[in-house]
Amino acid sequence: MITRRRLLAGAAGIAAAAGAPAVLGAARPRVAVVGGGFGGATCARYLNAWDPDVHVTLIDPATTFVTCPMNNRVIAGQLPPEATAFRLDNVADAHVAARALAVDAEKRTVRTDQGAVPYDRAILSPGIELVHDAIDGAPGGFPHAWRGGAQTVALREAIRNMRPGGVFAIAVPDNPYRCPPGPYERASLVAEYLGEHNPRAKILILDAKDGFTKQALFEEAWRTLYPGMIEWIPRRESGTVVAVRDGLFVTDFDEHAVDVGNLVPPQRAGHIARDFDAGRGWCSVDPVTFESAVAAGVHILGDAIDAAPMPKSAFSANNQAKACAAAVVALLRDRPPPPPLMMNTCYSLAASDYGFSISGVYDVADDAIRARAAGQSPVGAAREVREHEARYAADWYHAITRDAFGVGDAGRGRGVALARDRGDCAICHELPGLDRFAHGNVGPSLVDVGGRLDARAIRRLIVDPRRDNPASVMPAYGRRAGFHRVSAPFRERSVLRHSEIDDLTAYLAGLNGDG
Amino acid sequence: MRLRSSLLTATSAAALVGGAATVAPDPPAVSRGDRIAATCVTCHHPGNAHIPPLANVSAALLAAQAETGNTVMHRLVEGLTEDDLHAVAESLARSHGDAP
Repeated sequence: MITRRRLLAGAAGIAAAAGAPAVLGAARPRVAVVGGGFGGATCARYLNAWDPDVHVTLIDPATTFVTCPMNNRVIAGQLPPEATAFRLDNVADAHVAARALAVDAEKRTVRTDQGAVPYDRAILSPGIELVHDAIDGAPGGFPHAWRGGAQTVALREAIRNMRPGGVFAIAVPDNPYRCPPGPYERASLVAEYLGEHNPRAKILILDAKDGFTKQALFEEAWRTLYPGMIEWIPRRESGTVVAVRDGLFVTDFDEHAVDVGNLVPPQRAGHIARDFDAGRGWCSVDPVTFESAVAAGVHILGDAIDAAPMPKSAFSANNQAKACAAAVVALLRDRPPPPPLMMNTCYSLAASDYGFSISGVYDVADDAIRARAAGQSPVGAAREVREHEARYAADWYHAITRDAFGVGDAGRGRGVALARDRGDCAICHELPGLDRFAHGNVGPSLVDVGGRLDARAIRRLIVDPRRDNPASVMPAYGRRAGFHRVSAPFRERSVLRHSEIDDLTAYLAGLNGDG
Repeated sequence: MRLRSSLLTATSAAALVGGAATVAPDPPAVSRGDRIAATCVTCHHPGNAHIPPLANVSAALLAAQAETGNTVMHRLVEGLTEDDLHAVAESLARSHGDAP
């Protein structure tokens, strides 16, 4: 019988003879993922789920990602900022907390401010960069709040402190930009807040476009919920903001005095991807593999690419990340990449209990992404349909953040640990709260495992303990292959779903010996 | 690339020498059903209060969404072929309504 250790030893021997670096780790393909947002985090997690032999390194200076979705609810005081922050512990095999400076596609390394990270394939999901050049005097102290974080809270505070009857103005760029319905949702939720706390206040939307997504749905909601409060000024009526000064948004023909201004500037691909945008602002990629049109081995996804007709949304980035992960695991094994099928649904809230949405299903035809189907919520629907969609929006956010960031539920994790047909961890390990005859002792006690190992190490051990310890006899709960005499329901399936591994990790990481 | 082909050669050689054919170094390709199921879990999660879970989903039940759905799902089902529906239903059934 061939053990994994012998296999690796053999591989290393051949590699040394062939003149390649004789490092055991080099036998495992390395993927570097730059950016721990919805695109990068999802891609890292699906690479691990679909091929745990790939070593995935996440490069992001932050250990926590703050989402853009739901930040309008933070601005309107409906959610605390921490409800939109997610730790990046459960995303990749390794996390290099560094700023990526450049990708050397020839040498296949990502240069960071903490050193170089080598890769076989790189995945860039850097999101957007804000471009203030086109607006004279910008940003001029006006927040964009177009990323999660400090500016979101600053804008919330400015709106709370606005004088009675004041003017809140949002300057909106031309397409394409991140989250097309975002500015109109923001105006709506701020209107909900002001309607209660500052009812004589006005909201001004100064737009560099003559129309916007879900426009009829937003305008219907504004007439119904906030009559007379929100004014939208399109480009044709001099809506494009060309300059900002102290307390003023300046358009071609008008000046608007604002008490609180929110300047959402034009955007382009995030810094690290700009070497691959061919001067266009957004990167072109192969629609099947998401490999850059100009750099072999470099895949780019999310807001940084031109993926029209897919919008620049968290949902699009998440679905592109899965298509890209499927392609990369195939390419790393010299297999043809599979054709993508992707979806998007953008929910918007016109009030905390009033939602609507736009959806699309996408595949690839004639070397381009194409919409197979598309649709949106009907105008004139009953209020209960809007309430329903608002609840769906909250559920969507719950699901996508679990999917992308691997947020586990410790309570469910204990269930996974104990269930005979799931983890059944007690067959070999001691767990808290069990009679001493109710657990095995082949493996170490887990009553204090959270004090000995961090969440990332625990997750790695559950997925495949032999990656870190080739002599381990523990089963690999997150692998899809490499087992003997597999029964039909488990064929090509891991024993545990990866969401169960997230739950189990959350449970075990919390065990510190206190019982 | 050179390193990896050497590795594959070494693996098959070792398998022959060892006489064991049970260790699969490469995971199976990700099936179409699994890839479509991965798009479902962007919205569907067992901890959700309103978007329903995906356990016990059949191709027929999915197809019926196109007729009876009145919010989001009917729009998405319109973008799936008959084959897609069967593939994703089979994948979800084997994964207890979850992915991956």
